[in-house]
Amino acid sequence: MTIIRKVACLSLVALSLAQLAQAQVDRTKYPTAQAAPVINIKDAETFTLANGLRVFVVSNHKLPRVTISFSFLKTPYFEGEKAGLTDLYSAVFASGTKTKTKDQLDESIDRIGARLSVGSSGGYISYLKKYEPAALAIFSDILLNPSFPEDELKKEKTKLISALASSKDSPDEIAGNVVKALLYSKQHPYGELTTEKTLENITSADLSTYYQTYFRPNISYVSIVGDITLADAKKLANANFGKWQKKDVPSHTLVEVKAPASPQVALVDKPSAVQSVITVAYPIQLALNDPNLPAVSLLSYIFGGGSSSRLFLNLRESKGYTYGAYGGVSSDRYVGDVTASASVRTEVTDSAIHEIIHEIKHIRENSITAEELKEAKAYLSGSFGRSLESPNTLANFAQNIAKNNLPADYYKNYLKNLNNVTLAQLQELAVKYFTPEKAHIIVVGNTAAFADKVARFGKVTNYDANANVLVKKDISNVTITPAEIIRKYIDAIGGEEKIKSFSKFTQTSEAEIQGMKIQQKQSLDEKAKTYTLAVSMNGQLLSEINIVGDKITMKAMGKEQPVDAALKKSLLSSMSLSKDLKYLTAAYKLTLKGIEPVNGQDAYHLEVAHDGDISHEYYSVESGLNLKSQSTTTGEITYDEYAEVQGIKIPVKSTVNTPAIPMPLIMIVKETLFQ
Amino acid sequence: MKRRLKIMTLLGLGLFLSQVTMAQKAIEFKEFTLPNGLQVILHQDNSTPIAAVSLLYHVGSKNESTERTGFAHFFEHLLFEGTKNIGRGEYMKKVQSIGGSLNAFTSNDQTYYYEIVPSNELETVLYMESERLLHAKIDTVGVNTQREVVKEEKRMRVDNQPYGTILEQILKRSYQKSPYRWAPIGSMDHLNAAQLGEFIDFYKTYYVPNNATLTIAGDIDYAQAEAWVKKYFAEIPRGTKEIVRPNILEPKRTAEIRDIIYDNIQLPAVIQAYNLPPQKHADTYALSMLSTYLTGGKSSLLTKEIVSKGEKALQVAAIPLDLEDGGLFLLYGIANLGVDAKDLEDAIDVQIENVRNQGITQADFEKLKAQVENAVVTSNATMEGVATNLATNKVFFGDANLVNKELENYNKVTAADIQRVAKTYFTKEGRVVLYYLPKTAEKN
Repeated sequence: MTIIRKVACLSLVALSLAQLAQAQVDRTKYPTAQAAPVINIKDAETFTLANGLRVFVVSNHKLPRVTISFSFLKTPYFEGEKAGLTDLYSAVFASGTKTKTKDQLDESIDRIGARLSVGSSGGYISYLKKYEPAALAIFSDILLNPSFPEDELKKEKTKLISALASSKDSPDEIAGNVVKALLYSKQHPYGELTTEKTLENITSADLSTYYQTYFRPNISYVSIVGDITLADAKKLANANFGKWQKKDVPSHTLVEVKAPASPQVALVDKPSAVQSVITVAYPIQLALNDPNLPAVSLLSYIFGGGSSSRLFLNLRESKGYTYGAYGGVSSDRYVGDVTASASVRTEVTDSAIHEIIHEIKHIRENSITAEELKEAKAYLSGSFGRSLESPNTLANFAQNIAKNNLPADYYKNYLKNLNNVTLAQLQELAVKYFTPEKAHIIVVGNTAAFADKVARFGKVTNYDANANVLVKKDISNVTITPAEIIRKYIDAIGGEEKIKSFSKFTQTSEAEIQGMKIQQKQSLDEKAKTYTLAVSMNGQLLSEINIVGDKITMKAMGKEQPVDAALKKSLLSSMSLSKDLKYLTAAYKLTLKGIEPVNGQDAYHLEVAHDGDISHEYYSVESGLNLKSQSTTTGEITYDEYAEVQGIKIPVKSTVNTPAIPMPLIMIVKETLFQ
Repeated sequence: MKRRLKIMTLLGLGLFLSQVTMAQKAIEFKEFTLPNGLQVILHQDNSTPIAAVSLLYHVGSKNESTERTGFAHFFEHLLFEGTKNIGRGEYMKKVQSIGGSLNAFTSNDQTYYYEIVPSNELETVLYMESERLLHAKIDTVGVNTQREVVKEEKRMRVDNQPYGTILEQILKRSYQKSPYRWAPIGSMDHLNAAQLGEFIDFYKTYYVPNNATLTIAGDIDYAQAEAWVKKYFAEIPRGTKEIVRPNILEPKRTAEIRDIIYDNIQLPAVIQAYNLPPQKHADTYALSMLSTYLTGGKSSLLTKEIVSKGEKALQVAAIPLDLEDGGLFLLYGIANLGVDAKDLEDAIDVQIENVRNQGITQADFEKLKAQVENAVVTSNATMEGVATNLATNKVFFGDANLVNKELENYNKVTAADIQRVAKTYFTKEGRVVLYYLPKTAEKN
């Protein structure tokens, strides 16, 4: 074969040299391919340690490096009140061992130029062969002796909270959260959402418990790949992982996940967005050893797997709506999904949804051609062949066979099985998995621009960025007046008479930011018309405001600050024990805007207009208490908890969102005195 | 060799550590130039039955006219539309239907296209790439479709992305004279205004064999591959239009430029940009090591001091944006919650001053070498990586064989060089500093 090839090409060279001037190449058709190369799939070598650890070895001496990776077979874990636990665990895992600090570990890894990453679902180290002993010493120390140091946990928490805050501005991240919450429900490990609050609940002890419970050799799979022999790999595994103790690992029952009975449109408003992030998705059951998997992967590719697939060709190449549109059918041990998504410019949001739904319907309708199937087979066969360039692939194959109970020759027969799939099989699977009547249609974008055009796709529900339903209740039958709402509030906190019996008020509160405590002290004397507010951190005065009559001075770090007109007005107007009582005077115009949920309670939303300024107050329908205030100058304050002090109910825990701080500040009242 | 290595390690000779050894086999290759000017590089590796084919066109956003920015990147899209013999939309489809994958990217200096295919389909992709060079279909339908796609790409990657405008904003301020002052994505107004004739003219100027480098790496037979290259590429005529090759070196800045951008973000970011010499300059190696020293790995200076210990930033990155006529050394940090931009910048400046004044320790220098060695070995782990390295070294450094001298060149760098380049290039007078702040902060 090689000889014939060589002769043939020598003559070709001669030919092209001789006839360079009038080279006649037939450009009207594609050259014919040579015989397909034989793809050899070597088996990974495998052995099991006494503690149950399964090890897979692939020797490949092309480059002087080795990668050791591990993964687990365990049921996903619902974190609930401690959502984010596995994220924090992953972030802190390599941050300390019984004998080494984070600095020492980081230093020793970089010193040998190794790459290392470990987390709750697995991890790896990749190193140059000559540093093998040092690399293994670090890796096994991290895996077997982690200390989950308190201070590192605290730092990682702060980072994750920062990251959560910044994700609120990314339409893609908002979409990611809302899609998973709707697809799997927030009660399922795949759908639960991490919040600042759930992160705060997590302690170092939780991480240790998680480690003790789930980090066990009997559910672990280790791959050793690269410049290493089987004999050396055995020695290395025994020496470094032999002492890892086995223990039974609990499994969990997961809540059942169902597709909606009819199409559901979920809108998340992001007024500044210039594109809409559209996802059409629903959960399915498709196990990792389903015999139809090769056929499903072909179906999935034809639908939306690449840039030659139907979604891409329609939404990008034909319509130019998007930079990319992709989708497919995914298998999973517990719950899989069918998903189609694209980021499109705002104006074509409804047209793009229409086209996506059209593609889902169309693929069911006996529309797959023999040509499409042939191309999909060629593409997936090619991907399979290309994936073999990385020696890690062979190790992954061996791990998949072991974890998913696949036949031992599954990957050796993969190409054959792929090529045996028929059109009839695909059509049957298309009808089974493509069910547009059961889909969630989730759109994050500037909803005002398309809200009225998407009702035709299904029942519309508005959500916030954390996948909470935003309900606008019908208020046409509400008879209560704004003045009555204020009255109800005054009565709820103790009554007008009680409030008016005091004229002085002092209060100390505390908040924490970046692990540092901020103290706030304020005092008001209505009769003397004085007010002071001092904010200090660790005993050091940060800022203060003094008001005497209508004169305001403001200092920050000892330096006097200018007070702008808006702030001045806002400060002066709140110089009262209950500013809400003033709302009843003629200077204020009150409008009932609706009933909206605040902290899970229905609240009357009142718009308060005064002297050209507009603010918003929310009063509980049930208790009458003020649940939230919002204005452009002061930002948003939610009153999370009330307690009674000297016969008056005051908010003792509030969450403050101001434009000046990127993160909500939780203020806890420590002391209050009315006089 | 191995035994010697072991003994020396046992002896703990610092000498050994400071001399990074080349344990990796040399990358052999053949190169030739066709009479029409096309440069060709071939590398044979029969371990996996695949072949990577790439075409590097020496045209990037810097070749664009100031009235038509975004052209080079637009072509990266347009050349997937089809050719005289390959129907519209068929290009991607065909490559994928023979089991291949493909992609392309555009920078300020180059436009790069590549395919990875089963090795028995090598002839097919060579034919296809030659069609792209000889016969690209440039018509109104294709231009209109891709114009919409590029606009969506910009919306997705730039406008709808927190911090997405950083590159654009930094380039605009860092360069006054050089055509590096606009980003490859360019201006949508310019693309809207461009006439079909201008696109055809750009194609005839820059998409010519004498402005291109073809690289093939993988399971090939040298003679056969060469024969196919000649069969499909030899007949393509050399370009006749003048290739504009701007080489305007940006004048040295003498005053710091500072600015604030208000974006849809929650956490402030600080970006500093320092001028770099042309990438062929010998200091490029030391500067690359300096960037590893600053943010490569968790024990790197800025990651340790500012992210881990100081908790000033969520993340920091030092990125040398190497460009033919002098790029930028970018330092980028996203502030942690409650930390303001000024605080973060001061913390970065303190560390930079330390490197300038104290240099780096011998221990840290040894660490850098190990990190660099792993990175160099890894960059040649795939056929696609080898093809990219061969082509880039040929076009931008004048010698494809630099791929085998990379470690040697890093080895020439001394600890003193790291301090020297920090002193030379990290100057406050010459830098641009941008703060990205939340839009809510703008109102106050």
